[in-house]
Amino acid sequence: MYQFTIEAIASYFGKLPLAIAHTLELSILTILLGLVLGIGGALCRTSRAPVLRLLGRVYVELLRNLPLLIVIYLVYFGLAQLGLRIGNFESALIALTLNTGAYMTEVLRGGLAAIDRGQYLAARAQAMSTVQVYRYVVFPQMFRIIYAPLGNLFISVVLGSSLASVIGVEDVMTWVHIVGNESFRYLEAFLVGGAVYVSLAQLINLSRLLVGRALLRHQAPGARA
Amino acid sequence: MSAVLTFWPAIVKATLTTLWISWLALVLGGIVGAVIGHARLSRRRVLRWSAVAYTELFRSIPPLLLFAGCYYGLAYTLEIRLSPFAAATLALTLVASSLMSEVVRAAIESVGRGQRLAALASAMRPLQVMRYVVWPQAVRVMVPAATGVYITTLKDSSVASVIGYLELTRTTLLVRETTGKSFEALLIAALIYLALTYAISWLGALVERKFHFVH
Amino acid sequence: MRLRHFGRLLSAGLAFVLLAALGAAPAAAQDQTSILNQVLKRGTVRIATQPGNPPYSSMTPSGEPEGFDIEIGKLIAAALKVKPEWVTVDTPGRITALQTHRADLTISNFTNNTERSTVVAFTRPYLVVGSKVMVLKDSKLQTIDDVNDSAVKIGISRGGTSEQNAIRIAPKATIVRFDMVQDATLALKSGQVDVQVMDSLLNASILAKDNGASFRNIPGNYSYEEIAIGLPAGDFDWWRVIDGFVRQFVNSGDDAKLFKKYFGYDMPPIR
Repeated sequence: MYQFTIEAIASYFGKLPLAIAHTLELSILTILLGLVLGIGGALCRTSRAPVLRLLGRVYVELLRNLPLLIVIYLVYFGLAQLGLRIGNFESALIALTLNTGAYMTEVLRGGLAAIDRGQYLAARAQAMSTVQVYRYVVFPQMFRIIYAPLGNLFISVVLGSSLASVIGVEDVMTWVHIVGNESFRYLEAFLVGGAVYVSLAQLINLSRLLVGRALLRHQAPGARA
Repeated sequence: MSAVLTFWPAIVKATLTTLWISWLALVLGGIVGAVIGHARLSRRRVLRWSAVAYTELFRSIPPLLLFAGCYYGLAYTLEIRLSPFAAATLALTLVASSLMSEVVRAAIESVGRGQRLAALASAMRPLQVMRYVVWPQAVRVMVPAATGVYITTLKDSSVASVIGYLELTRTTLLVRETTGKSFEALLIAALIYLALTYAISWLGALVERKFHFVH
Repeated sequence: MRLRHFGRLLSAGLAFVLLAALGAAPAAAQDQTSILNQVLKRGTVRIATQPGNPPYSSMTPSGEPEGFDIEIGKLIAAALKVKPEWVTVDTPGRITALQTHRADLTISNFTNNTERSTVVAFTRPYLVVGSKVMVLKDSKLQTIDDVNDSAVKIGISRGGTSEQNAIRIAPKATIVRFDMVQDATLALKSGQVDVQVMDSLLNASILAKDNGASFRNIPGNYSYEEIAIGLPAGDFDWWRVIDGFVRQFVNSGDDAKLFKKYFGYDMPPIR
């Protein structure tokens, strides 16, 4: 029977915080850049120019239907063959951002679509500039709608970042592999790694709920969940 | 490009493999998911909370970790020896089941409670209620969501490449070695994945329409 | 009423899942009889191999494995009068497959070292290899001291001896771990890593195919590794049979002949 001993891998715990830091670094950067991409995508999809609309649609369809692993390999190895060499962290970031941006686009688009166009027109009729309309009328309401999906997206990014390990990014998943290979204690390594990811995911969930409750306190009930 | 294409038998085999384990995962995951979905709606708190815990757990674990855990982890402890195929299918099933449990739950809830109560009042046994009243309507609601789950499973199957299972991604990566052409090989894999997901969406829409006709 | 309903559904579901799980795994009773008997009774010998490392093992267009390792496997199967069944694994999977009895043998450029011997068994070697450090032809790195620098990125395939060798050779360098050996080579070719530490024979094959176009080695051989067939630990009978095969294979010169056929040059002597 297998002897389950956490002590066997205790010597590796020292390297875990750095791995977690890398995972978080990758995830946070991805979310921020993905947000930018998502805004661009959402604007494209709701634009009046058919070319932009098509571009947006193609982008979303493409990146939502391709497995993330393929995108990572394409960015790191595929582009390198064409002469464009990108480092492993950067490739993972690009691949994750492209992927996240597609989902982000849809979330933002859904949020935008939920705001009745009448409000927009009414605000414009009050001589508000477009920027003001978005800032005071559209975004506050949109925020409430997209808040929960955004939280979930953040979690998927953290989980998806584990794929960066296949091109050698030193995140938690790589830590799990190193520990398992050197100590042959695969199970302990997986459980610890799993615990880290589950904790990160649940922490994000929790913060989302708490922050949401605070931010959206003044809004109509039913906004948080 | 042609160098990569000479490997087409291997690629076709890999594509079929990918479709097959995703399908298996969907079906098995659907069954398990249905059980969990029902448990989620139970009146007993224990069942409800277990269901929530299960769903939350498998939505908080990266697929990569799950695959590796099913292959290496399980083998070392419970001495459950799984081939890469079985490990990949198990991991995919676990993911699919947690997704499907939400789908089933939403579908059952979408069928008005009144119908269930009315049927019960008509002296139908609970199982009959499920079978004749709730499920036929629930299944129709589930089809679009289930299509989404199948596509997600298909995409996640690419992660099985990391435990050495010869599905589409792994095979593609191996094909590179003789040809040295990363970009072409990956491009072909990407195109195949896109074709598969489109076909599935299209089929899903077809099935949906068929259901509506019957209604 | 609802409780009964759920209870039934739940237990049915659980039973199904359990059955499926058990069905996927061979019966535990298999442990008890010797591997040799199982193999003979089953009529197949399950050999774990890692395609993607030509000429040791690569994949044909139809998806079947072929190569030096594969030929050895076929010879063993023929000698036992059974059919070979190939189990594809990745580098760490070679060990797992044996530990979990998912494979009867591992023939996959598998180094026999003491660490691994604590969990799996090895035959005597059929090959001896070393470790080479490969860089791009026009790389600025000339010696190991150049490589042992924190700015240098070494690409390796994880889970194998290259990983340990690289850490030993250049402890200050940054190790980039890839899933497969060819990933590391491709990364070196495009300059995404600066160095690749790899098996000397794989290295020789790559350099031969490359013909001086892109790669060169930093001089020196950095390890002594005995390549042997891996077996599940604890079964002496099985070891006796397979080790016996390897002894004859090497002494009769068949090993050298097969090597020449796949690698194109004379096999380095096995001391």
